[in-house]
Amino acid sequence: MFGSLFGKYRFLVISIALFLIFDLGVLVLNFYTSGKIAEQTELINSAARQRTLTQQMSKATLYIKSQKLQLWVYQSGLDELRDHYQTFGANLEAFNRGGTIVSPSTSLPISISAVSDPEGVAILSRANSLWSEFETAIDPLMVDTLVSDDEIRPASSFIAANNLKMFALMDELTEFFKATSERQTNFLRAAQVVGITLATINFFIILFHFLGQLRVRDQEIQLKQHESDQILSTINEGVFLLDQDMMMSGQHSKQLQKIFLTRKVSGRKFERFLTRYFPQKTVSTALDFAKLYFRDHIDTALIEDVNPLKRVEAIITKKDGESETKYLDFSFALLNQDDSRHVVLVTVRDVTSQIRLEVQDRLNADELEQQMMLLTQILPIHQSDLAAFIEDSRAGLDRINLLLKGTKQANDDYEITLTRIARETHKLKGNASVLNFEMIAQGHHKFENTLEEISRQSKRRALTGRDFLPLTMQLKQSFASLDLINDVRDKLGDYVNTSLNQGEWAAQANSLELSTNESFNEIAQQNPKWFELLAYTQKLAAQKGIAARLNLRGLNVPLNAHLSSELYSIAVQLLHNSLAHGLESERERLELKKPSLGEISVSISHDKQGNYRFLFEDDGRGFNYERIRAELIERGVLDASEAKILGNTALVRYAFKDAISTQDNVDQTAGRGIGLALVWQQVKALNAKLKIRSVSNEFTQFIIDFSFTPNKAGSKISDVPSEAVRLVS
Amino acid sequence: MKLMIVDDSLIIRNKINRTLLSRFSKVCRAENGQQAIDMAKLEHPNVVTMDLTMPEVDGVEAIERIMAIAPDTHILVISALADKATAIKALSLGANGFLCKPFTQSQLSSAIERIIDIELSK
Amino acid sequence: MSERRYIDVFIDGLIGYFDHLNESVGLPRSVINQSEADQHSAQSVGLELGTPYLLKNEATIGLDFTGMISVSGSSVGTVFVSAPRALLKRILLSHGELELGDEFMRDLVGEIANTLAGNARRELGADFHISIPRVIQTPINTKDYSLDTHCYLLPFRWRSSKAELIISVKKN
Repeated sequence: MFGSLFGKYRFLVISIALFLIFDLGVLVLNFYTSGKIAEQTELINSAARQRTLTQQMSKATLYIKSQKLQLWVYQSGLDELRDHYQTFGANLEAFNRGGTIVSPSTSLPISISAVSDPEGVAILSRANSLWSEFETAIDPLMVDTLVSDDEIRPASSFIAANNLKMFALMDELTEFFKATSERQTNFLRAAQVVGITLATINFFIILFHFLGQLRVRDQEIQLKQHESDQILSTINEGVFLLDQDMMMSGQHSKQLQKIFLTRKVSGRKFERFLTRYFPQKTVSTALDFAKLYFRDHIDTALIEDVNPLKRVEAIITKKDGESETKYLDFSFALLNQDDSRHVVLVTVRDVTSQIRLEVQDRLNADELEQQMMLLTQILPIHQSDLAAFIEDSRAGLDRINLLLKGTKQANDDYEITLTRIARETHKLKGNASVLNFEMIAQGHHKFENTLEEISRQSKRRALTGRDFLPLTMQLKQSFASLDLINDVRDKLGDYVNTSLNQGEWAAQANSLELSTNESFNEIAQQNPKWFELLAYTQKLAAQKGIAARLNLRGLNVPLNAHLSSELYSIAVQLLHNSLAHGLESERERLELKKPSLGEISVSISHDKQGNYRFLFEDDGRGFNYERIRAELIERGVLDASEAKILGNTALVRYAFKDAISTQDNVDQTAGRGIGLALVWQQVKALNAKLKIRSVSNEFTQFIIDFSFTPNKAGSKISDVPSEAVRLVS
Repeated sequence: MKLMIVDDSLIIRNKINRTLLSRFSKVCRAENGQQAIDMAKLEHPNVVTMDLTMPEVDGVEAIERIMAIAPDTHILVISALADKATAIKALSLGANGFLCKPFTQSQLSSAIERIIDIELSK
Repeated sequence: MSERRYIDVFIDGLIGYFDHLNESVGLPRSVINQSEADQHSAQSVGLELGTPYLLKNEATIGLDFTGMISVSGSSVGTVFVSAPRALLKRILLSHGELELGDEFMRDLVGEIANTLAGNARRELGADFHISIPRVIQTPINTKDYSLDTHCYLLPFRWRSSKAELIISVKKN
């Protein structure tokens, strides 16, 4: 505190202190000297009284003498003489040694100090010696009330002779005191003049020094102001300062006016300012946010994410009354000022064009990409496959639409609808993936996201029909995409050879090292789409860098469409699983002394009593429990310690049951973690039993047992018994 | 130092736990706001990571009540960006910082260090 | 103009109409937003929205009376609001109207369409032209109107009477 005072203002402090010292000095001196002068005046008066007393003593002596001659009463004269004599003696004594005398002017006792000045002492010593003669002469008159002639006569004659001498001495003393007094008065006057002169000089020094300093500072400020004006007028961003009371400070950049098309910025309330451009909710949130910067407990680096004024839409009214939409980015930074108060530097950037470009880019890219993708994706697909795919997909979308239509307005029903739609969608997505139909799969993927979003909402509040609107809109989009594909297919049909016949199917299958026990024709008639899995296996295996072969057996059993499509979808999920986790790379297999080609087989068998077995197996690693364990820990489902004590069976159950995904890396074939969970659900929905057998480094088997009565009459969806589609939630 | 992890998701709780386990002498977990308040009374954690949207008592209320019990608790809000206003409310009630989900382990570690470094006046 | 916004404008208009209706007969405002809206609660006095689904072109639509609004501008579309006698009767009664003849019902469905059109004019702004609504003969074959391949059917219910809002949007 003092350090800083003396640091910056040392000169000022010292100057003012000096000024005070000078003034005080003069004052003290004045006080002291006037005391002295008052005392001196008493001395002058006393000395003058001594003069008078000398005369009065002489007068009294003469009076006594003359009364005595005429034999009259002289008592009053004697009293007077004695009185004067004693007073004179006491006063003289006081002059000599100091002491108390009676003030001639006020008749009060005052104390005086002994005269010490040599000149005064010299006068006094002469007076003393003369006085001692006076005493000798007068003393006899002091004894009793009777005065004899012998006593009065020598006294009278002595006084008559020496009276004037004493008078002159006392006069001299008076003059001496007067002179002393005058000296003191002069000294005081001189001291006052000196003190006041010094103080005045000091005052002017302070004045000039600080005027000079102020001028320099003013110039500096002007310069700074000029500089910051220059800076503020040239920077490309809207910049202003915000203080603790949420007021916008005086200075701001020119650009700020351009952004908001207003000059009214300085000294405005931040809230008022924002209210003109943003909805009330944004304003109050923004204000609360800005206030956080002034709170001590906040780490400002850790609140940037919640800034509500990032890429916000502002409605700015132009001069002609029309309004314009701008996208703005506000950023906040805390500044410490000299006086340890805080201000926040707010920077506003107009990101409208940037955002428009991004949107445009995205749109353009989307459109172009979609068309290109559509072509590149349709071309490799076999015509008949494509037709079947479109038909299947439309049927799937129709089912979703029917689910929406049939939904009753009740929360329970909403949830059932969501679950059913999710299943339909997952199947559709699976189909699209098998055909390598990225574009459609992506659409379904988005659809799933929307479903998840609605599910999340349902956990927070009761749903209404309106919440399903985004879903319905995407459904329309999916229909439109299918129409588009159909259009393209129709047009392509003219150029591409008509669909391959069944013979060619077989040829193709052979080239994929297909090994089946049945005739292709039969299978192809019953469940043609299973053959897509052959190519899909090759594709996925190539992606993962492994060699694999898919074997299909027993697929010529008559299954109804629903069952067939459920089993197909299960097979797709398990295929993903085998290729992702089960089969080893060629090198690994060779090291394990296994054939380099990984085998996957899917088969359906039955006992002619209606008991069916669906078997999916691969000759890969077997269930890698450590991997599952690691994955469960990685996904945060289990603690390391929890996972350690979990038995293998329990682990597998976890892998199947927990549709938990971190969502960090969701792509279309994996990541949602609902693959195996979906298998589990489908198995449950089919009232089937799932068994898993696995030997490490040997094989994994998924066995699904179910009962089914073939309905030769037809295999339409409508024939599926309702309980078969019922979901166990 | 003691850490309390408050989040209704087991996955997130585990992730935070894995990341910060070595930094703290003790780590406790709560699944909702009410548990968090109860546990704060019992364990007096120095640092809290707090989710905002939770069943029963939500994060904002939990922060308010924990600050009333122990004003010198350092609180990091870890939440999705769905509702900035709620996050800002949480911060103005005494939380020291905000980390957006999803986050990386290093983001979490450095945020926690920053939170611990803030000097809180009692 | 996004499709979503377009649809929302008409839904909001519909909610607004029924809210206003409730107010004018002294009933609380719509409860749809917090709707515990289950079927059996007779207390749900506001408009309840069902799950929207798609309607293929060439479908036959329409309940007893239907009002139609055409929209042109940056998007082209047609909006139908279709209601059965039961609902219209309830509305007429809530207005204190005792005449329940077909003429009155036609008027009423026209008025609902009018309200929706008015709201849309206000919300969609100058880029759109909203036609004067008209009441059309039901059933309607969507094929007769040049509609998009699919339109949205939004079922709704007011005091347990069901009706439909049908929206078709096409980008121009």
